[in-house]
Amino acid sequence: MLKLDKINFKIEDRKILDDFSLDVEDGKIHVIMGPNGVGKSTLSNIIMGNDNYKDYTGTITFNGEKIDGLSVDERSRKGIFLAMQNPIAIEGITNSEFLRNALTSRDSKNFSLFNFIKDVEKSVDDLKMDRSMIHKNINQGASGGERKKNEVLQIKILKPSFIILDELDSGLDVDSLKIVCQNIVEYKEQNPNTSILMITHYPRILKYIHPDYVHMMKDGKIVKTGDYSLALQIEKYGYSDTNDINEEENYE
Amino acid sequence: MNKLLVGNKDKIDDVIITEDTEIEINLSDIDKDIDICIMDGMCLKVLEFDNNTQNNIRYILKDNATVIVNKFTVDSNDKVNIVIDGEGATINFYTALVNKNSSNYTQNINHNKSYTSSNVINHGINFSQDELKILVNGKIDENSKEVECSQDNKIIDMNGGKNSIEPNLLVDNNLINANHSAYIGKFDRDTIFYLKSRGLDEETINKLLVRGFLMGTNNLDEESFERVEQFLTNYINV
Repeated sequence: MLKLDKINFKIEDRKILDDFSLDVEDGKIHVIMGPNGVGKSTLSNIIMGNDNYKDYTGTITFNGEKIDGLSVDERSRKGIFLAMQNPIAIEGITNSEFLRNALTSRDSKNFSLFNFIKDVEKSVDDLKMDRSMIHKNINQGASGGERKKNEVLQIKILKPSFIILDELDSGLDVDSLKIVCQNIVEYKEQNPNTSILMITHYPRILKYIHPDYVHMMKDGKIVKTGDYSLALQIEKYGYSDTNDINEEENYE
Repeated sequence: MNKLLVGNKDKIDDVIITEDTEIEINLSDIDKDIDICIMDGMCLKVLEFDNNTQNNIRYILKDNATVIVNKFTVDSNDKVNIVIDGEGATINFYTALVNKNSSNYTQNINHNKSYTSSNVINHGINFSQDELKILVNGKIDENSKEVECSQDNKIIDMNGGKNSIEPNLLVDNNLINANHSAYIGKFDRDTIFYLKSRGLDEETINKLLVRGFLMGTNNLDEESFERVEQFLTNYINV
């Protein structure tokens, strides 16, 4: 579904991504773990097409099509969704009009207001959010946990086929983490071809969303790949010691 | 609740508010002088729509008067004078300024009594390459203690216009809480990225942000909200 081929990105003289390659197949869940500053969030911004990160080299292919030249909104309409680490608040735009516009930008012909309201109400209930939030401005006055739930609400409504979860677990209490993960797992069950790329520091979220692959990232590239057991190894030994256990194996 | 409508043809110079009142003002291509005095303990809500005006409107607040103004204006050269002459009086004044040609908007807030509060928010959008100027003067008298005086000013520049904000605070008493802020620039890049990342194109984003910015964070009732939407649709097609 999504293929990253030799992505390089630097800020001034510092290499952030160094020949980074990854192939995410249809329906698979990949996890990228790594300490602060290894380029995990840079990677998600590059995939999404953030203008601040446009000076990268390498190729991103999505469903067989090169998307390097596409704008952020074009990538989104193709089905890529970035659930952000720190979702911002936006004054004067309600969640309702935002979602309605986002949906019609994808498919204005088949938009049904009745179905929209029904879907939103159900999704808000699933996420145990207050229904009044839909008429409030985006994330204004919302806690960190509520903002993360709002990201998942948007996933449920916009129905992307490739989801990047950038530190979804940060700012979430145990109960909210469970709810959010349950909703993502359900979404994945209903849309089995959807692929997920999770970026996280901690393996606790992986108890709820089971990954197919876990990658450890260091110095702008993947240095180790395994399954869930690698995440547990990282939790037990830390990033430095885990990297020393076996020989380095690059994943492409 | 008493209700008043003020339009171009109404000859109103002095209004004295002796019961809780709502006023809707609609003025276009005109300069008017209006004094509105809000008597002790009275509540006044004003919804104002102006286009190309040079009005001089003075609000005089007596003891414990409460005033809420939502003013939406295009190409404004208005001068608003807020005179807080009564203890315990409060005013919340929101102005949305749309600049299509040129605007020079002035607000003077005088706290002449103790335990008073003013909160003014000015949101301007400059669509022209000409001038949008906002001048806000907050003055706290030396005998006025326990005063809250807040000014928040923002201009979003859409087409490389000449923009200026002068937020002044002239304070003669130490036992007060006063703050002012000013921002001139574009819409926040992170905001635009967030909206784009959900599939919205640039044109839709601009419409939503302009509309949202001008509507402000007001808790307008449904009827007022619709009137404001209509006004914005008429003048800036958002």
